[in-house]
Amino acid sequence: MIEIKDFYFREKKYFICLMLSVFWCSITFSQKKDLKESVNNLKQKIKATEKTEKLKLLDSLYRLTYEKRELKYDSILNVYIDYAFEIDSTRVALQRTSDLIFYYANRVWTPKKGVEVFDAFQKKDIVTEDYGLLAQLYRNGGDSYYFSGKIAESESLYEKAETYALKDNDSIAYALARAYKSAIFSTTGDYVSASKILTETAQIFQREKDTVNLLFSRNELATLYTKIGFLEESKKERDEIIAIGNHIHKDPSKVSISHQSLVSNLYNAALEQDIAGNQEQRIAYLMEAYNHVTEPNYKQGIDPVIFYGLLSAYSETDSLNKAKYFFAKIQNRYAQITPIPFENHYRTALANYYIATKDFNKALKESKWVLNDHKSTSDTWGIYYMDERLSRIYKALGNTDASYKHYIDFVTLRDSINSVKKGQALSYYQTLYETEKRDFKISEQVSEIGLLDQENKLKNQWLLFGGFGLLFSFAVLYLLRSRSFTRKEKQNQELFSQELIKNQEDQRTQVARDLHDSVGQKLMLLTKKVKSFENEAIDDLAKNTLEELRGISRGLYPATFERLGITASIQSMINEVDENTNLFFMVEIDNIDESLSNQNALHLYRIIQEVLNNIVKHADAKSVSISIVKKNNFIETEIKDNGIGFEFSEKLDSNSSLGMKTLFERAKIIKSKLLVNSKKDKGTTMQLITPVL
Amino acid sequence: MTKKDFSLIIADDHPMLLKGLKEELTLNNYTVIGHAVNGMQALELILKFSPTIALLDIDMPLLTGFEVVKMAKEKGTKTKFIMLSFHKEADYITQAKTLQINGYLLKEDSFFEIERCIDAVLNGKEYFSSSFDSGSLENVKDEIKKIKLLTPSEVTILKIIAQGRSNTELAEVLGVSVRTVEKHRSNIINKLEIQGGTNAVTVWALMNKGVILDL
Repeated sequence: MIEIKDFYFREKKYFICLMLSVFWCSITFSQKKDLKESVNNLKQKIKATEKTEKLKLLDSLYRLTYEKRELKYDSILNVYIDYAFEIDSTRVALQRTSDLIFYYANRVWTPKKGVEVFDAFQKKDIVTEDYGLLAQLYRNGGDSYYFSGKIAESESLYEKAETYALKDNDSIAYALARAYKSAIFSTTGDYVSASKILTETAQIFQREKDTVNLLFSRNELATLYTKIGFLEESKKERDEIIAIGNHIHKDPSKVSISHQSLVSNLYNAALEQDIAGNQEQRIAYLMEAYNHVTEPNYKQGIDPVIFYGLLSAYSETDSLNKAKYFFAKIQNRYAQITPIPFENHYRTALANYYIATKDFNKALKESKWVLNDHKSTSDTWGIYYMDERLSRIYKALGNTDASYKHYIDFVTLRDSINSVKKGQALSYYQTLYETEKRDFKISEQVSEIGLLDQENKLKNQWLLFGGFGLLFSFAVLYLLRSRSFTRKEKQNQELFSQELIKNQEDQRTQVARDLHDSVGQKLMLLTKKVKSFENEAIDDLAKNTLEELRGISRGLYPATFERLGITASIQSMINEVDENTNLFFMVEIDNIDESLSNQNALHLYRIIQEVLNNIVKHADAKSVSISIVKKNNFIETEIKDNGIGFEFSEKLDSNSSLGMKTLFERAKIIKSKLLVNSKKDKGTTMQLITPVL
Repeated sequence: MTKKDFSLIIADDHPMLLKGLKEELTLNNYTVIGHAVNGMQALELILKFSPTIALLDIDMPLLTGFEVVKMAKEKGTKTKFIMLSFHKEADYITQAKTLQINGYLLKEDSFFEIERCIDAVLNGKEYFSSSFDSGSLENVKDEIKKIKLLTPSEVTILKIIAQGRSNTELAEVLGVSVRTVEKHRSNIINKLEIQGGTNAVTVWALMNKGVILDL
């Protein structure tokens, strides 16, 4: 049995060098001798030639010996590289350098040699703009460092490979570099990052329709799950990869790709089933792989591993007959080859077989070999696996101490592996959980920010809206206020002027009364006394003085008003005007004595007086018609002249017409409607509707 | 009838005038049986003593002179009334005549005029202060004196009619409609109490042409 970890890494490289491995596998053992001869011939020729010709020959030699340890592929490459540098074929030199590093790191498992070659290349400080080649070089360099256990250095090299791949616009190379880097995360326990990168690279490969690398990425992911102990996820992933592989398998032109993927994944799936203790499934996977490797067009060369796997599986499930069948086959096909292909796997399978056949001494021999091999590569899984076998073998042989020792080793390793696995699973979950939590938090914050934005927007809208609303309502309020203020002002002014008029009227009345009561009475007495002197001059003076007083008094207050009432007073006034002017009067007055209060009557009297004054002064009229008609609820007064008229609005607006303004104010005081209708040369009509008490 | 045979009461809210009048009357042997300083007092005195004549001021507190007359007459008094007033307006006289007041004097009128007025009233005649007299109408028949009742505009019409102009001409001159003129004519007929048809005014005006055109 092989250890999982190591196998995965090798397997990864199998993917990468898929096309190259064809060479290796296509060479049959019978050709071996001829090959050696050809190589020697070439070597001779190379020594004899120079320059380009020599380089060509070196290239042929390189192809001939490609990745063949026994033909000293590495030393041939070294010669080739040195000569290429020598004749300044830098590009070829670098390509071969990359090949050499790959060979050391991924083929012959001597990564430290790969590191040396890579360091030498770096020291040369070669300037080139072949970014694709650089990406490849750094990727292979990264591998060397990685397998040498220099994880940190390898990470920076993989990152450089990433950068160069990007510069080269090669998304596949970029994805590959990243996929390799994921192995670092996987090693350091950052499974979340690793799985993320692998998922991402799988997407890139899918987009680029690079099926080989897509399957490789997914295989890595499945392996990752197994490492964490997520066997179910791993199986799911495997089954999907296998399904894809089977699909591709239908296309004969892609048979090598499908074989490569199918066999590796089926084998790994079987391993995982073994760990899970599901032997039936394990054998089923192995049988499927067996079917592929026994197909005539199978050329990948992993077939021994499958045969060994089946031998182990049947041995461990006590299917001895089948185990024997495979044991025989293996002895026939592979045991004769030197070195035995996948010797490590081979001997593990033998050990299992011998345990099953209870040939414990043989089993012990094989197991010891395998254990030592694992110890040389510090393969924990392998050691653990073999300790368990050895414990059983020693127990069967009766060597209790040795059995116990191996058992202790086995248990110790198992515990440590389990705890590591648990820890890994836990850390995976933890990281995943934290990542999810962080992502959730971020998305929550984003949504919160969005919400806040929304709220802010809404708030701003409300603010704006409210602001405008407030402004608007303020404006409305202000306008209303100012309007009501103006109205009030106007009302106040009206009230004021009305009060003024009333006051004036009161004062006039008062003055008239005072004149009558004091000066008037005394003046009368005086006039009377004077008469008895029979002095005509003094008599006349006295009489005239009294008349003047009467005139003033009458002007202030209509003398007839209180005693005779409004009707008579108006009549008297009209008669007076009639008497003193050339105007012709047409008068019709109803008795309105009891219809108005004294004060209102006085205002009506004054209005008529003012209108008559205007007619006398301005109208240039010949006749005036005055009618005062008493109706049920109101008194209708109409004064009409046939004078020159005037533009009413002009008159009212001009400041000079205080009389007209007073007229309207008086009308308001007695709550009357005053209409003045005038047109130039059409006379004037004044109409007043006064409500009755 | 001697001065002792009839009685007087006087009323005036102005104490100086009241005192002066009373003194003058008493000095001239008139029998003043009472004096009042307001209308109400005057009314009481009239109703209580039924004096032959009451001399009343018009402007008095509580009741005006006219009101006193009106109310006293309503109570069936036989007292005759003379108004003694500051007011010279024609309307006062009109009002006085409406109330069938016998005399109307102005306060500044001389005592001689007061005596003449009292005499006239005692003899059942009317007497109005000579201040109201318009010279031209002094010697005409009472019938023509009614012209005084006409308004100045009506007098104008009457004058034009007296000149022998037609209604149409009249309307033209006055700038009024013929209808207005006719209305005025009927008003004049009513006031002057002329008997007859539409042409009565014309006839009357032509008959009294001299007086009318002198106005």
